[in-house]
Amino acid sequence: MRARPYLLLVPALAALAIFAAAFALFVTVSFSTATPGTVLTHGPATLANYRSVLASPLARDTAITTLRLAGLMTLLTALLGYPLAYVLARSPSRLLRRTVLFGLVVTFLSGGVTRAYAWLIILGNKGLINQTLVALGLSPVKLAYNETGVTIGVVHFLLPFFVLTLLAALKNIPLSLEEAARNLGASRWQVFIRVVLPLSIPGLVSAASLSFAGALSAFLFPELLGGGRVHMASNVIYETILTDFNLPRVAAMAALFLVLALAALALLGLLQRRSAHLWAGAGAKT
Amino acid sequence: MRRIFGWSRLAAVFATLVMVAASVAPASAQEKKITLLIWSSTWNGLIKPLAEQFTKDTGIAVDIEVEASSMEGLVKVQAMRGKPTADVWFTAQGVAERAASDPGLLAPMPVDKLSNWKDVILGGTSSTFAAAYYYPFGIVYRPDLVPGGKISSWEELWGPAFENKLALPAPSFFSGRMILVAAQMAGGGIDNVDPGIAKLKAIKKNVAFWFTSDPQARKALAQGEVSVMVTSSSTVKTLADQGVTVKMVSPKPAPIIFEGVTILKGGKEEMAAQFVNYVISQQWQKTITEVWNMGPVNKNVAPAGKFADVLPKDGDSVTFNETTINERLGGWTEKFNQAIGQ
Amino acid sequence: MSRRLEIDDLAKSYAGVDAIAGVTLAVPAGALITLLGPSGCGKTTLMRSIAGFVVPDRGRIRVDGKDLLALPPEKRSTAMLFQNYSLFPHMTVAANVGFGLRMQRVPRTEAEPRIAEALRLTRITELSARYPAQLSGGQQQRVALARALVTRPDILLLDEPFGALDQTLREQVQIELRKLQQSLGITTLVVTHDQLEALTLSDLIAVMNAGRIEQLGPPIEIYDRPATAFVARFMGVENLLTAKLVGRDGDRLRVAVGALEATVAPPVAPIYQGPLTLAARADAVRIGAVDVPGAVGARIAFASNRGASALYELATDDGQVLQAAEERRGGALRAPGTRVGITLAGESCSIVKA
Repeated sequence: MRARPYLLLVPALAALAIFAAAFALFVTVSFSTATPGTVLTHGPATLANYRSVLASPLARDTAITTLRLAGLMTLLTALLGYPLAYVLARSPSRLLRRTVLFGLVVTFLSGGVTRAYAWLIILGNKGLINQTLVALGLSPVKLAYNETGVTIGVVHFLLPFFVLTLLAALKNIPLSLEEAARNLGASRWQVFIRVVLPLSIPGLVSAASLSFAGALSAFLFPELLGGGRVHMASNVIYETILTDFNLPRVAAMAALFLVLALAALALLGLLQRRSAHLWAGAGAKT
Repeated sequence: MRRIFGWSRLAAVFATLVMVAASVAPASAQEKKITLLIWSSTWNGLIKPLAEQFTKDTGIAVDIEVEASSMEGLVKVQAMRGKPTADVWFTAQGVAERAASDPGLLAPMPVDKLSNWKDVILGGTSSTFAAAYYYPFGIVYRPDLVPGGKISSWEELWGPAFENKLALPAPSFFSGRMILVAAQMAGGGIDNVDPGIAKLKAIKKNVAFWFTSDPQARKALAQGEVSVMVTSSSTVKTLADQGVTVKMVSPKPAPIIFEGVTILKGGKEEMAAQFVNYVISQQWQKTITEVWNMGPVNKNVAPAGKFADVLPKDGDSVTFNETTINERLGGWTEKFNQAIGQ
Repeated sequence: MSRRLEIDDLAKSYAGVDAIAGVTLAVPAGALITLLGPSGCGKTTLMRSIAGFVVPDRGRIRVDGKDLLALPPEKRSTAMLFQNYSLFPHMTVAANVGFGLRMQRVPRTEAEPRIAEALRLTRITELSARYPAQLSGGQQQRVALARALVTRPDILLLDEPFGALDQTLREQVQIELRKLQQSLGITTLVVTHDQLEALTLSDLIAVMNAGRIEQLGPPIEIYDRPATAFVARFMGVENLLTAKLVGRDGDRLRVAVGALEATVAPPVAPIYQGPLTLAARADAVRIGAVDVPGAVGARIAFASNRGASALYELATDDGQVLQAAEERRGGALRAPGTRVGITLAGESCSIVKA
């Protein structure tokens, strides 16, 4: 019997179906009403939960904080990640490439919780950095239990995803284009600014979108490194379930944050298509 | 933090599969085994050796499923409504009360069949809940890191000596007791927590972090990141086991919190009841207070000496209406987060 | 102004394997030289050394006596036309062509007429606003050429410039390029593995093999008088035959290949020892009647049509296999199995180094 290729899709479709069903259930719940102090919900369908979330100053502040931090984290990831990806794509030194790759992959291997605790050891009030500062006669700085700590943790978490995504895009830029530019009188820096950077924009936007999505959904690092002060969407949703137990309202909150995140990602996707459109199929002939 | 989204999704899928498997295997109901839904630290530190004794006595094997917090346990219990994979659920009293509002989740306690029921202290039981222990909510501190080596009141924590030195529980921990304590200090109470939230806003500078994970906070206290952690008395014992000397004080107002067991509806209620009877037994309660440094709920057992030290003075302790907390905690949390957010 | 290019004992090895093993070469100002050879012969490494993308292990490269190796690629006045054209996909044709001028900070007022001139020379003025992805292969090549020429380079480097074009377009473009190069008088180096292309374009051909120049000379000399068996084979000589010297006729040599005899010019490079190899193109093998004096009997083993001519595979009576070409003159092909007599036209043969 010959294997039919579409059968390979069955597990993926089944998984998707389960997620879709769970999601539908969760949206349905968001239209019901919770009985206060209980775990029960009742009908009829209402938009009250959405109205309540939209009117909530915490939800609004959380949305702003989440977008602001995710944007900042993505920007920092891109600034750190681009040079690393470029080194991986182009460095003639195999040792350098391996070192960078190893450094990135190791972060994959260590679990999130382990990494968060490791960051606390480095960034904490009595962490390595502050001990060094104090030993040098300087005053300690607050690096953990605030946005700084969360940002450092999340950027570190996102870097490998960003770098490996961008790396694929950079490798698709023919080396001969860089040579052609140098041949025409461009310095290394000019080659980067005029050729590599513009050609990597679609890949850069992909990598940034992935990072942005990762940052938007950050949970562990804000939870462990945020000291209870950094309110990103996932944490607020989680905490709201644990304190309010108003599932319909939490479902509405989660649905609204999801819409917001999807809108932000759609915007990035549009940007990517715009940028990719300009030189669509460019690689084909070269 | 034990709860990671990816894992919990996977776990949900896995749980579904287990449920399906369980429903097609009716014989399994006859198996002499019960499953506890329990916090891993409670299981490892306290119940595991006791459960072995239980199995020896009754022939009923004990298995566990882990919950990260009472509330997370409630989410799980709700998700497996009608076909639970666990039979006995360890949880906080307030959460148990919330769960009891859904008649499909908890079995009533078979009071007549529980020989030890009559010995449980006042406030430790309800029709669906039996306390396993109680504890005061108070100040655990490192005497070596605290000025004068001693703390005797809540108010001291607001002083400049504690700048960036406190680990306080977020509202989701201990069901908002931190907010309630602050409210009482500031002249408010359960019906008006706003002064309490304002009071907590005033302590912002002193708070290194608001914890949502007690292992993280314990670690910080052990490493000297903070010198004070506001929490339950079991922390004293856990840290002492790690060689860290801490003291605890439960100044006025000192909330008393009960945690205990409930029986889940699912066909093994009888075996589960046997387990509950063991939990509240004199023998187990003795271990609970002596080994775990918690308050015994069996009136024939005296609190261990070490535990008596951390108990609030007469008249200092307070209890709160769990139903009211359940109704209002969500709103308090929102206000709290607005006030202390970065 | 035309520049003279000199390469002196240039060598480069990768992991102990020589890519170029001591190449010395002088290209007169304004000449077009082709580096011809199979892949891996070192021709590309040599060209990339001139452009600055390969740092040679030893040797010198000079343009009008000035050392090139001390300069980074962007400071060398060499313009390279890449095999795949390497146009910047995110720039219009005009921006591609103007890139070099922009990098050299040529003022706009001067750059614009120069870009227009380059577009006019390569006849792509009407494409100036298009993007590379919107162009055909031939058009892309013109853009690449315009982009290279607009900077007025000392040396033009063309890497397999016609490889991606189809046959008819290729011939047309080759002639165009040659005309343009001659009119601009720009010293040009072409890398190719296509002998016909080399013959069409070049003032000089350097046939390369295993990192060395096997033979250097004008195209006609390379074609007519290959110095080595490698060059002969590469230039498409069909018959490489082991020959014996049997006598002299003035400065010409009489050689025998089996029973066949021919009088040929002496080899380009002296051969001191070993057996001789006679390189005979298919058209040097003449087919006639069996009874012609001096002819050796043979049988037609295989016949194929080449349009105006026919190519035959012959089995001679003394056991050799030869390729012979004959003009058809409107007639049918000779039938396989037919017996014929063959002779060798010595003036179309050369003696080569094995």
